[in-house]
Amino acid sequence: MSRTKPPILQIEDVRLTFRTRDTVVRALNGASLVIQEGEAVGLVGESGSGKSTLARAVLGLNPERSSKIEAGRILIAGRDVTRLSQAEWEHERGHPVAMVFQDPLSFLNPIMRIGRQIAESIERHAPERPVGERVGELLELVRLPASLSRAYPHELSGGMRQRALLAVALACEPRLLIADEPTTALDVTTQAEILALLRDLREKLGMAMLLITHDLGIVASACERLYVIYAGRVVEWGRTKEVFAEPAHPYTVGLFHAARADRDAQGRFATIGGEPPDLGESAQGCPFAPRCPKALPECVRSMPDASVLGEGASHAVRCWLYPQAQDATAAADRAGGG
Amino acid sequence: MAAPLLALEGITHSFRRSGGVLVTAVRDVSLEVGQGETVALVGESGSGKSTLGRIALGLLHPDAGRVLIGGKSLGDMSSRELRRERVAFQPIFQDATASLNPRRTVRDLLGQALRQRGAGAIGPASVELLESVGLRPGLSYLERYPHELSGGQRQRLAIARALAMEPRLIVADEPLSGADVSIRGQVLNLLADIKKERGLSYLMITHDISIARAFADRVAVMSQGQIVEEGQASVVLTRPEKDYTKRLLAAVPQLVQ
Amino acid sequence: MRRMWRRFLAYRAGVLAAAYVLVLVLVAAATPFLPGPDPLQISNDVMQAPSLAHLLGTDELGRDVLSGIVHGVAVSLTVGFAAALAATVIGVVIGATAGYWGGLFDLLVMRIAEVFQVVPSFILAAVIVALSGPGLTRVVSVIALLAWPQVARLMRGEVMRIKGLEFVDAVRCLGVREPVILATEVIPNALAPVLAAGTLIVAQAILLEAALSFLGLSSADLVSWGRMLNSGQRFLYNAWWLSVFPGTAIFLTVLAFNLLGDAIGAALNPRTET
Repeated sequence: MSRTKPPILQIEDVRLTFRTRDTVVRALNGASLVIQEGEAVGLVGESGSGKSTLARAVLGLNPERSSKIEAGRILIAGRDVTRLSQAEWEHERGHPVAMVFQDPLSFLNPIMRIGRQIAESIERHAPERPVGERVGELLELVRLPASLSRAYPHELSGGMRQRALLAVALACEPRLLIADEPTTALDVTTQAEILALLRDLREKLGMAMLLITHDLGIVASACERLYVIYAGRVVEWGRTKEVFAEPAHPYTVGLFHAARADRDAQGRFATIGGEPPDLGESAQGCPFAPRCPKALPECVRSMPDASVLGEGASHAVRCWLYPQAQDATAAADRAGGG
Repeated sequence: MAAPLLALEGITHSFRRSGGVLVTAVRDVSLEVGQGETVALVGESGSGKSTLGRIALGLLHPDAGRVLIGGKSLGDMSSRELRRERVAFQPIFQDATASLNPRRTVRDLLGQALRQRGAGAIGPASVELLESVGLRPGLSYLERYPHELSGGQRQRLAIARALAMEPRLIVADEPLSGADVSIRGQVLNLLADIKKERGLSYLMITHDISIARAFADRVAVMSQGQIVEEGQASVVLTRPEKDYTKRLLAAVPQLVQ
Repeated sequence: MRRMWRRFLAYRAGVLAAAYVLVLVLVAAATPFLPGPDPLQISNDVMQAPSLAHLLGTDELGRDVLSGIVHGVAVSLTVGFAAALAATVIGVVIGATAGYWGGLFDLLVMRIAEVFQVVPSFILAAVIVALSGPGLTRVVSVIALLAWPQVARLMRGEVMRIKGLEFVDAVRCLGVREPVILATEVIPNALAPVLAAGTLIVAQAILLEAALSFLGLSSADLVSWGRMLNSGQRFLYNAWWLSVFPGTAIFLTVLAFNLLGDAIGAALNPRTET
């Protein structure tokens, strides 16, 4: 594989903490992730896993006062953006990375017509094009009728609002679109439409996508590769096909059973015992160890490096149940690079 | 044949939306839940499934149609009789946080229900209830407030309160959509255990096809205020006959590639 | 609870105001036992400027201004608290009933409340007191009558919001009777903003009482800040202390209750960030 271009997004072992007056939350404890140009990648985790924090860190959206990237690097198209200040982000945002969120209403201006909001986004990021024409193009792109340009956000249905927000994001002509639970608030049929739209848009625009979700089913239908994040740590990653065929980390395995509402021989529903960990404590070992049915003594002591699974070196897991690679870092790099 | 535990007959209900537009949420719907049966009411938001659930609980009075508990119509009861009968049906809501008064401790919340039923020995009974929903040791939970519990624990507490009334039917409105995937199995198992031990019935309102398929005996698919298809869950949710059900199933992202 | 305190303490001004109010309450409680001259005691030291003998001076009849201000605390606080309490109780009961059951009663009550809020309350109060004659009880009743609609509207809104919440439905399913649900589930959760409003009413009441007294609409044997201002304003150019000190007392006290009300409102609102 030739590597003429750097990956559009490269996150290397990021540790991020939130501090308030008397609490520390270690939201990310060493999260790594790589997205190549044009690739669709899923980031799967439950609430509190740090998946949204990771996405927000890519755009400098975590509050400057209370959050801090303690270690690691974030590179967008090869450029280090880890230490950018809020002011510097103001100029950065939208290009080449844009984001859409679960709740479009809180990101659309309630008293501004949709068309105007899209136009503002165009003027800010690609002012050389004739704006009116471009607004029409974008609405068509997200399959909204041109007449909706004059509508206000509250006049739209949930699915239409998500499309409108998508149009605002696409006005920046991003090379990477981050979608944070874009369909969680929507009905299944509307969800299917939005996912189909995202697929088409990627094909048409050659744009990469990071889809953040708790729903493995969505990843299956929309992503080429996926990362599983638990308690601020990426525990498994690989091609969607491979991970679905043979999930490796006990947490991933548990997630699949739970998502399918699988039952065991006694007719019991599959479950992951215990509750998600408290991120206040600094975790030495694998954060999943206390809930893990297969935990070994070393799991509590430290988090292993990546073990590469299968032939293609694209599927990897951080779990003591799997033999450690000779050169773990190289393996992780290969696997992460896909 | 004995009268079914819950029978909804020709229920119609409309709301006036803020703009003054009259919206018919439920249109001439009939549904029965038998003793010991689990019926899933499946549909998308706005299908009227939650409205129907609230009508079954007696929280809403339908514009037309009858709600029968064991063959007796709620509409014919005096308000005292209604209060006495309705406790046989208990709710579990999607958002356990919202369904527990934030100013009451666990002891208060359970005590209120137990006293209402006229149970004696409130303390021991509360502990027993807590332990029956897996909050052990029950004693250690009594003095806590809902916000001091985790999401999963709160949902268990809400279930415990419902059980305090010794209900014959639990109307569960999206009981799992607030919970994380990894917690869902625990709640489903708990609900299954309760059913086995107490022989009660469920009317489970959900948008999640996989849960309906795994958990329900019978399923009714609702769309735009009407039941479009009804039958055995394993049949309807695998080989649906109606177009709407087919489309609904097709829209669910599959876990197999 | 602890977080509530922290939010309250974050309001520095609120803490100061609370301390000031606490001092006032202590002074009011201790008034009968305080040393110093009777505020109504006439003496030959007329129109004395502030001095060591009379720290805040004396008026045209030789009465001690400091003593008057100290004794005025009790009057202001009594009027303020009594009126606010009455207005809050009336407002809570009416607002909660209207909000919970709605219907004709709701419609009627809210129209009446609107009338009270549209009519300039000071003029109405002045007219009522002028017609019915002065007296502390009358002043308190009039102020309460004018202030309850604020509480009622607030309460009604909160009750309408809370009665639709799931925990109320859950309790309804336990077979609890509606009036009991209103009293034990809904009202306790609706009281927070009302409490803050009640504190603000204390300030309004103190101000209104002072204004009525200033117009001479209070009994002559009552020592009140408004009354002192009333007699003092005639000598504004040759005896400034007769106006400035009672005026300052009114200003500070009204300000303190306003700040306190804001701080309580913020403390009881869990969405306030510290």
